[in-house]
Amino acid sequence: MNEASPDVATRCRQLRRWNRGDLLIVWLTGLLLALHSEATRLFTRLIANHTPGNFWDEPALDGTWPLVLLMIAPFCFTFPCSEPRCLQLLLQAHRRLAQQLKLTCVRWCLCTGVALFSLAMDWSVSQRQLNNERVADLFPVMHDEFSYRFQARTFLAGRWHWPAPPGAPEIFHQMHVLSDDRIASRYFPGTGLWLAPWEALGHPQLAQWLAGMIIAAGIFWLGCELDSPAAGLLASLLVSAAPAKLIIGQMLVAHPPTLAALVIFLNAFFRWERTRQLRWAALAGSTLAFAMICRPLTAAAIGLPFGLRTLAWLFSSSYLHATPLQVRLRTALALGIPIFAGLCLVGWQNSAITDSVFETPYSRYTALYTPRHVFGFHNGSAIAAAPEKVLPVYNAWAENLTPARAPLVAWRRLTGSWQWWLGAVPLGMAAVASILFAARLNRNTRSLLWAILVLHAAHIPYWLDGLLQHHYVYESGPLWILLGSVLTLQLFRAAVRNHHFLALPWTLCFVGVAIAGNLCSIGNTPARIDLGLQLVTQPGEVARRFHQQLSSAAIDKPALVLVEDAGQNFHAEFVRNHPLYRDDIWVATDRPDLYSPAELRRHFPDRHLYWWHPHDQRFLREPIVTPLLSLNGEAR
Amino acid sequence: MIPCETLAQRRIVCLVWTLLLPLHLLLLGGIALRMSPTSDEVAHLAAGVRYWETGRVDLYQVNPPLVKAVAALPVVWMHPRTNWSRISTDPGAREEWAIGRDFMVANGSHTWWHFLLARCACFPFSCLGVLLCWWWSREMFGPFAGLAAATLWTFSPAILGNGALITPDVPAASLSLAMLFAFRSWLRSHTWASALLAGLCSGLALLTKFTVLLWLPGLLVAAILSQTRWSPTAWRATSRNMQTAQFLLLVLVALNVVWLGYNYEHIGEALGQQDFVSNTLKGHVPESTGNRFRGTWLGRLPLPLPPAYLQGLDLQRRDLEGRWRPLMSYMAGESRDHGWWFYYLYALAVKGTLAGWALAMLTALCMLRTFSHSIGFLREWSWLLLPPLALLTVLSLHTEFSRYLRYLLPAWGFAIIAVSSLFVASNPRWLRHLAASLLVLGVLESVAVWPNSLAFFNVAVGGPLQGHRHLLDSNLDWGQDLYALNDWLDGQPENTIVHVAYAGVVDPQWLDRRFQPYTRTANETTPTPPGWYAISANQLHGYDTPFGPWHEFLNRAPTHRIGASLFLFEVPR
Repeated sequence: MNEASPDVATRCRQLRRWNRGDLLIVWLTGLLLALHSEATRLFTRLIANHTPGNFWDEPALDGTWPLVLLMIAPFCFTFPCSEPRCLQLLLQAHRRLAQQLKLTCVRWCLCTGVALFSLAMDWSVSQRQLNNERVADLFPVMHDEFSYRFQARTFLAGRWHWPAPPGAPEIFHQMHVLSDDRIASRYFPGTGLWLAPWEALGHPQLAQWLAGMIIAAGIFWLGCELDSPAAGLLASLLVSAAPAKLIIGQMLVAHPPTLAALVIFLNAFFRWERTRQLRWAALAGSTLAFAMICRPLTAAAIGLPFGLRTLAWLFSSSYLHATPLQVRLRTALALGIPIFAGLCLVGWQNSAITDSVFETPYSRYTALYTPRHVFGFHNGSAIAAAPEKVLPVYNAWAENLTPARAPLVAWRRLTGSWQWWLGAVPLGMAAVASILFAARLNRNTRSLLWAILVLHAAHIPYWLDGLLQHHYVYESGPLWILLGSVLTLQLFRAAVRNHHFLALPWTLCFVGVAIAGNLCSIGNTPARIDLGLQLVTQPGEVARRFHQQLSSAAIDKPALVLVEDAGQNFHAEFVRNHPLYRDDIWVATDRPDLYSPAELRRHFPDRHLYWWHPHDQRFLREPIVTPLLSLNGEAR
Repeated sequence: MIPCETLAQRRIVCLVWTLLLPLHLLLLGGIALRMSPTSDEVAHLAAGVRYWETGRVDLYQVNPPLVKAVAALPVVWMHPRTNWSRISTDPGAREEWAIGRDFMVANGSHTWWHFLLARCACFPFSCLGVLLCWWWSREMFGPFAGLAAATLWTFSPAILGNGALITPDVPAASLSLAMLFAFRSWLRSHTWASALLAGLCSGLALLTKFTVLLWLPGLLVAAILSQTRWSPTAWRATSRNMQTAQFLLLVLVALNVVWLGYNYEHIGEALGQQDFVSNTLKGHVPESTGNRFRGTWLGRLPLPLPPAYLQGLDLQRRDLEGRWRPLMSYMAGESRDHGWWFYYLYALAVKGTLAGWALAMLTALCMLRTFSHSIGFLREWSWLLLPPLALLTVLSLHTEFSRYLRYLLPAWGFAIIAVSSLFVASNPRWLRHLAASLLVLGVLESVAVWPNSLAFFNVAVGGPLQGHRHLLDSNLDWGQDLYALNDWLDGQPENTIVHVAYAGVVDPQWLDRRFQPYTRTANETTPTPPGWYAISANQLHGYDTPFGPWHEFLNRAPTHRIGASLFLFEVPR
């Protein structure tokens, strides 16, 4: 990325005149979002406590302070005042810096800086205390993470799958791991490949932090490309400090590598469009292919607007541009070969695990264990391929998605992506502003907006909003921040031109309040990041405690520990065995419907059997007979 | 809009629209949130909900329906539960408070949220006042005076305290300004549009509070005088027929708006068909209801105003005649069964900001200095001075009871604009600076007591905490501090019981079961049992029950003060 960035004045169509009506709509959007959040807070207080209490206690992160700031925003954005001395100095320094920023080395310094900042933020979160424990000690915690880690270990062993367990395969079912005659993670191979080297080093977390650094740096370059280094710097700093990035960055899941790949793809694509150099096309194709083998739908959705642009370029008449057919063909190959290679890799994985090139382990797992979790409307009527394998309560957790319910879920996902990346109000305003000003934005920025919208639209037919209310559209968050930063910078310039200098401190306060609420607790309201960490770690807490207990438990070895079902089928989460079953202690799920204690003893004569119940949390020689509970707490 | 010519004018426009208005909203919001439902609000909200549910104005008729209807709009949208079983068809019945309580009981804890929403719905009335003060004052005295007038309204404790509630006083103040400003504009511009606007504003103002009727004779006089040398040149340039036609349009629009507010209910009914309860309208007959016009030619005439409007006026008149229930008056520590002619002057003296008083006196001095017999001077000043003087005079003449300073609020805006004349550019610089300093002082005085603005008393009389020595009821204790009491209780041990002697309509036990009523008769001689006692200022002074049982606490120092209206005593073992 050593070409000089495009000249802002010539390449970006500046928002010379901010239409007051548009600004009013943006402001009203923010006001409505903040009012909604604040009203919810006050409503809850009045209903529960019969008093509003102290207004400043437990402020709503998306309501209280943003609302107050939004109330004075019209004043700051319309009051004409003379240029303060400090601002003159600041602008002079900015102009000098802007000249220096044209130097590529300075940009690289900044890029390195934001990458290191991202790393520092990730590290600081891992050292944070949550319920008197270090955050780093809490992860991995979710069943998805263990499946990804399983995949990484599988790849490190140079294989696609492992042989079947030594006996009674049903009880060794691990969440998100196919457990038929072959044992393999259900997921696409990209994440396992990304984690594998770091897993080999014993620090898989570092893979995600590295992805975070790439994301921060990539966003910086995207900002430079779309507007200016200042926009890039602002966006990358905001992304680095975003709760969603910091929380997911602690987890061994597919999002960080996918996002990192997509950010490189976007940079490479814009460079290729500008320079038409083959290497950028090859890089764009490779990174999109990598994103595709991590999260195919996400990669396809983000890539779609750019793919259409490329197709339009490839197939447009020769009269429209002077690019020879040969060059176009070479570019198509440079872009297409990596993608084809990615598809081949997925096909290879499919055939190795499911014996069919076209059936993915992901879809096989869904069909066997959680048929209601399928993508599409009316998932409630999905028929189980093997009813005895279905995790009944976990499967039933998936609500039936009707076309009427889908927009509500999509809205939750949209607001969730705003909330967890910066704040519902600033990013909601950025989103509305980008849509309103779309016609006046440059082509690349418009394509980014389309990419976000396609990503959200692609997930409309899915029943769940996701982890942190949005993880299926996780990759849209930094792009919203990027758009917001570009628009903020352009608004700044308009404000300075119109002598609305108060807009500057106001924006700083507005963004500062959002960041403060995300990272620090304010007036008894915990920091958003702590709320998120709590949300993410809570469901796997019992399983984590179980494994801690197991490592120090005084039990006879070799042993088989059977975890009883507490009613939500999460006992499958506890199963994390060595792929070749070489441990002294095996953990399995208790399936009294399939195997009685006597049968289990017959299957595993050389192992001591123990039963562990999540309510009792003791290792017993006999199972505790308790009624199974359904999701709503009723005995089944 | 007047084109902004200078940077200073642009700044002032910005300040008013984008700083004062949001600040006013924030201040109102803070008060609306902190105050528990006050006595009259309980009735207003229920009446408003009934208005939307049934389309009838048969509850709380002493107030026209505009404000309660606007307040109830967001509440109706939430589909509240209602209980109208106590509705009475008796002409003199006043069941609004009982029905308001039923409404609250039916909606349980959601009722607190309903009140907050309803209060917020009334904020635009007060914001309209900010804009009208600015506009009128700017037009008369220039941009800086406009800014000063808007600031005075924005931070006026009386406006803030009452504007945050579901009561018609501040809306009446704003719409009175709108009515007179629009009428004045019509007299100056003689256009059809201005006549239409004046009619609309007049109709809306008449739908807020009956006090607005007081302006009508004045407007009629102004219209007549406009035919003389008092009128501006532009008006005289219009033909007499055109003037008459525009005036008729104005009246027709105003009447239609009023009828629309009452859903054109019983349109065409004759005066003689009504049953009245006040001596003024029923005549001095022994029966509880009657109609002195029945059988006369007047009785056969169709009513120009909705019958319910007239019934409201009739009820109001009966109250003023002292024939509804005994209404005690309280001033400077003295309770009695009739009022004082100088009550409102006294109330203004203790509840007006000191800076406001200083500004008013400076304005009077300035006026005397610059007094001119020119027609223009007299005409313009009479728009500002006559409404407050007329209202003050009328209210002072009614000495059947003296209870509420808020009755003066409909004329508040005129006084504010008059005071803002100090900022006219022709005044000496030192005077303008002095006025600006006083303005800042007034803002500080107001902000210092916020959100207890309803109970504002100036520092010369000891501030809100000493207010109970001067005035009671809606001037100080309207039942607004229950939330604050609840907050205090939340910080106490679980088993704390508080005996509450409270003057409002809301039952404290709805907030917390630990609030216990404690009944005690005046003649009881046994010592008060140990425990916590929360006694509101009205009860402490035996406002509606002279020599009441809580009088003995007057000589004790309260352990805590909750807001400005509640006294908390701990009786030790």
